[in-house]
Amino acid sequence: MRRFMDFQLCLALGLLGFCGFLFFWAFPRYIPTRGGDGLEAMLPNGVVAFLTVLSAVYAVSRLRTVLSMAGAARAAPSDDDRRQRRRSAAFLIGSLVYAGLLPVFGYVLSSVLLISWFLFLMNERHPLVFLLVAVLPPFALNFLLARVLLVRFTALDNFFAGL
Amino acid sequence: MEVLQLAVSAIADPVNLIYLVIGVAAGIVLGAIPGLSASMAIAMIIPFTFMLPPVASLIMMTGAYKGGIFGGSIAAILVKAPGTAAAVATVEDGHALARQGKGRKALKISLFASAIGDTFSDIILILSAAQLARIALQFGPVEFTVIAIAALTLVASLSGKSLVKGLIGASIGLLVAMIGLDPISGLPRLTFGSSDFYGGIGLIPMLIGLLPMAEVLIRLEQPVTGSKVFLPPPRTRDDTRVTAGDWRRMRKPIAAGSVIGTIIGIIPGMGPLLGALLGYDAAKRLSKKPEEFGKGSVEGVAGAESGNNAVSGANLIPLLGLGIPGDSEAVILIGAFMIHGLTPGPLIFTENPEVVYGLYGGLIVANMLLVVFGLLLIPVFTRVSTVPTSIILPVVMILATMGAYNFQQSFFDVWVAFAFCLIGYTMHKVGAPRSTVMIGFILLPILEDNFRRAVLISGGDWSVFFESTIGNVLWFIALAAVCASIIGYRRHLRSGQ
Repeated sequence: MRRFMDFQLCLALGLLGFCGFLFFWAFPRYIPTRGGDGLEAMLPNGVVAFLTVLSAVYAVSRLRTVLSMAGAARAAPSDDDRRQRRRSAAFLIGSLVYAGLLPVFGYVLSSVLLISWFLFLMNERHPLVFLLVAVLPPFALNFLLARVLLVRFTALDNFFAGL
Repeated sequence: MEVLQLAVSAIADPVNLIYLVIGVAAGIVLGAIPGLSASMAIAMIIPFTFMLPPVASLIMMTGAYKGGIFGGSIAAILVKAPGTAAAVATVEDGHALARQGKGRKALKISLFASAIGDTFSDIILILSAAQLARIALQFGPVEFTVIAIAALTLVASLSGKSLVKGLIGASIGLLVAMIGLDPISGLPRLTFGSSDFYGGIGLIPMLIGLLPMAEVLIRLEQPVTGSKVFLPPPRTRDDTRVTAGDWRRMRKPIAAGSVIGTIIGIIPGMGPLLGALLGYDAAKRLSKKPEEFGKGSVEGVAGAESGNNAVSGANLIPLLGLGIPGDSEAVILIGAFMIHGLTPGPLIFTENPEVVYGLYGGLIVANMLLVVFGLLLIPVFTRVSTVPTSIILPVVMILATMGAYNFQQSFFDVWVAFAFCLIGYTMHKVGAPRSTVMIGFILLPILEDNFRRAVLISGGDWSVFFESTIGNVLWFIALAAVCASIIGYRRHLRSGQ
């Protein structure tokens, strides 16, 4: 089963599910069908129908790729393949942390601080004041945060490169 | 005469001039950062222009656009990492020259070729956009519906390796643009009961999320290093300047690149990369020393740079004449018009002539500034290409977050930007072009408004779309554009590029 777990295939199936959600749940509730020219729902339905077809085409083509890859892996399983797969899994987990979670902490924190500045300066919105007063202090903070975090990313990157 | 007066008065205004200077400088700096494109440069500058008058704002952004495209060549020449996709053609010859100790010469060649290509295409824009708009004034909702459908074929040329993924991106853009109040009945549509969605999804937060924010995530995956390349110092004075002999060699490539880039710019969906590649190719064909190409050819740099910069002015011809974006940079410029309550298209020439002619003045002066800045500040800008990502990325992220918030002083827009950042990152991961979402988003209002108005005027009779002569001609052109896109796409796949 694991060999069929492909990110792009999941994405295509997710898109299909999203189209179903729009058709059967969202559109009946949130598309006005009265009071206009009778065409209100036509364009949204048309676009989602088109998106459904595209998602299906994408899913089928991806499934074919995954099947052929799975077939190739079954035909010649080797220690190298298994090691490669383990390395890929480790890399995937590492990437998630590396590209997703850590920066989110850093950036969300700095963004919150930044937005606090905005609220403080809501009445003074001239661009030059903005640049000088609103931007510089959070910049400084961001440099600090990013330096600490990105140094760690480098360490992680080296770790995965050495696997 | 009145046109000239409006253009001169706009550009003689010191405030406009200051913003133009800031725009060009910011564009060069952002474009010089490897990984940030000219469109990202404009997307990041837009939030600073909300409070400016329309002319100053548009002048600043077009300055940033021009500066961004030239800035891309700085990183291409010095660190062999093109700052923008359009600079790809400059990489080989530009960096080879830099390795021979002629880095400054290569930058100056790139600068002059860019400015000349740009000026040529701006002149064509000034001469032709108003004429196109005059023709377009005869168009009604039917004609504009057909034009919007034809413009959707842009997606095929922007789709890269997978047309399906490109079309999915465009459909998502169309779908997102539907959120908000129904344009005819005024009833809420796809708002999920939340009042935040009533105003629709803002173009600016979406752009900011899709382009710079997603780029930060993408670049975080790469090892954190500054680009440090050892380049030999110049051996003679001629290694740092463009000599009379160089000018003689550059003449033909620049002329060819300018014409090719301008033609490419007029055709929606082609973009500066194609202009650069075809300009480079033309330079090679015209050269007496084609064997030098790839090893540090002056003509190669000149042809590619004039080709990619000439696209930028001509790109505004369909934008101002018809209200249709020529490429992803033009989509962002449409957003810039829209935040000031202006709708690009034929009516802008009669309703807001001061904006259009002020913009023309700004374009020409921006080219001059590009040369002045380039010559005086090349050493400063070159340092930008080597700044470590640990400094660049947080700056980009913070500017982007700030821009999203500043759009309407709303947290909602920050969340929209974050959501599109994830969508953009996912699209990058699966190899889907992010610009297709923007094309769908921009074209939906034009398509929907005109389509529904046409059907309303005709009393529900759909044959109205095939009754007017202009409409039928445009249908034919749209059909031809679809066929050409599909054939071009298949050829592109077969060639394996």
